[in-house]
Amino acid sequence: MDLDAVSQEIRTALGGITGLRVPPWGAEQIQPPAAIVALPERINYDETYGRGKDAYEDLAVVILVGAPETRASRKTLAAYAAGSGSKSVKAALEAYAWSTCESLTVRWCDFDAAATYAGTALLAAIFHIDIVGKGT
Amino acid sequence: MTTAHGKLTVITVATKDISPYTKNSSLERSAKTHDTTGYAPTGDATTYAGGLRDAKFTCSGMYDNTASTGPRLVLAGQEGNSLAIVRKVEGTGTGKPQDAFNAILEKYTETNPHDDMVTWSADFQVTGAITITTQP
Repeated sequence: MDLDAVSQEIRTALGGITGLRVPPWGAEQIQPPAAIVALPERINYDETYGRGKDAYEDLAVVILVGAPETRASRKTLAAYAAGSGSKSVKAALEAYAWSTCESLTVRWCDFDAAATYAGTALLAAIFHIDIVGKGT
Repeated sequence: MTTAHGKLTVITVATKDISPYTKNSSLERSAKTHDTTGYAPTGDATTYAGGLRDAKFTCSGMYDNTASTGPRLVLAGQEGNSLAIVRKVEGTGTGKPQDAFNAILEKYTETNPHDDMVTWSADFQVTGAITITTQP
């Protein structure tokens, strides 16, 4: 697996959620709602013999919506955190036909009411993703 | 003398290389022993004579539906059949050891946890001798 290729494909998959912007890594400014594809916590090499499979453990996708204290932000974030539906991050990612990896599972989601991006406070949901793919 | 990392291990079953889907394997060699102790043994110690050799082979890993070489395609439905197995404990390479034997598939298991990858495991009873050679 190639980390950059996997990250790009995650951006493509998230781009299928209407209204969700998916800026590239390092964007100086974002306009919420936006999804940032971060790095995995670790890469586990040699999950099987002969470089058969590697695994990305806990790759984070951060969804940033509006101001933390507003009801609208909470409602928007709830739709992205839902287990199903047109805005569901889990549903969008797990329904996608992946070519850069073999399987992708959204394991859990937690929240940050004190997130900031470029100095702007934003309500955030962080999706934790496990990915398995070929080692070569 | 040198150590060897398990990731280099190569396993073929019926000429199919299942290594890329295998996380663990073991070949347990054993032999029967026969009590040859007579009356008034020297030092009051039990004595034994070596008997017939035996062996068990187990392997397990990550499920993969790859056509013709995935564990399901190679192993499912082969329970009770004798299959030719080659085990390269240090990997492929000139001068490296190789074990070749026939073994009856006693059990093939697929396990589906709700929160992790599907896994597989296989238990074999070795039948006949294990041919130990050095790879050319």
